[in-house]
Amino acid sequence: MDKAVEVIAESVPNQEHANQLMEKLFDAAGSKAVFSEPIESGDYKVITAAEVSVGLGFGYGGGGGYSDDFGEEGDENAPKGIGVGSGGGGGGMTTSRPVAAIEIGPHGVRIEPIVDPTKIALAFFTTLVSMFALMAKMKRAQRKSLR
Amino acid sequence: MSPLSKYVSWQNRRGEPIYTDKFTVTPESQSLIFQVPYFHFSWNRPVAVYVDDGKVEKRVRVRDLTRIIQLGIVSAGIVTLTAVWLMGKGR
Repeated sequence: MDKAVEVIAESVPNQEHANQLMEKLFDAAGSKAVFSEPIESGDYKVITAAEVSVGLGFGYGGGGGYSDDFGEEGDENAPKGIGVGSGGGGGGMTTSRPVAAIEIGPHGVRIEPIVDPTKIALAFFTTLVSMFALMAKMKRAQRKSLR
Repeated sequence: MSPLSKYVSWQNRRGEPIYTDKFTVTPESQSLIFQVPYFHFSWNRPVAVYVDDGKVEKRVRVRDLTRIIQLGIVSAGIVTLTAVWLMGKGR
C-alpha cells in the first residue's frame, strides 16, 4: 500500500516546475526585451526601446487512487489497481509597443521618439464618445431636477 | 519587507552596456511585477540611457511621446467635462 502511495505522489506534477518555467519565460520576454540588440551601420549604432507587457498563468492538478481488490491472489508484485490522473493548462499574452529609437554616433547620443498615431486616435475618439455620453446623462439629470 | 511586496514589486534595472569608440551607453528600464503562485504579470518600460564619455556620466531620459499625448487627451476630456458640469450647476 505504501508503494502505491509513493507511485501516486511521484506521478502528480509539482507546481514548482510551472513557477520555474514562468520565471524563465519572464526573463526572456520581460525587462531584457525592452531594449533591442544594437544594429550597426558605419559609425552609428541604433537600439530600439519598447514598452513590453507579459502576462502568464499556469495550473497543474492531479490525483490518484488505489485499491487492494485487484490483482491475483498470492502474487505480491501484481499491481493493486493503481490509478493516476493529472492535467495542466496555461495561457499567456505579451504586447510590445515601440517607444523610441536611440542613435549612438560619433557626436553623441540622440533619442528619437516613436509616435503611434493609431493609439492616439483611439484615445481621442474614446474620450470624445465618453464625454458626449456623460454630457447627455448630465443634461437628462438636469431636466429631471427642473421638473 | 511588507506582505504586499511579496506579490508586487517596482524595480529599476540597468541593461547590458553598449560600447562605441567614444561612449559607453547603458540603458535603464523600469518594471512593475505582479506575481501570485499561478499567475505572473510584468509591465516594462524604458526610462533612460546613461551616456559615459570617459569623464562624465550623463542621464538622458527616454520620453514616451505616445503615452504623454494619450494622457493629455484624457486629462483635457476630464477638465472639459468638469467645467461643463460646474457651469450647468451654476445656472
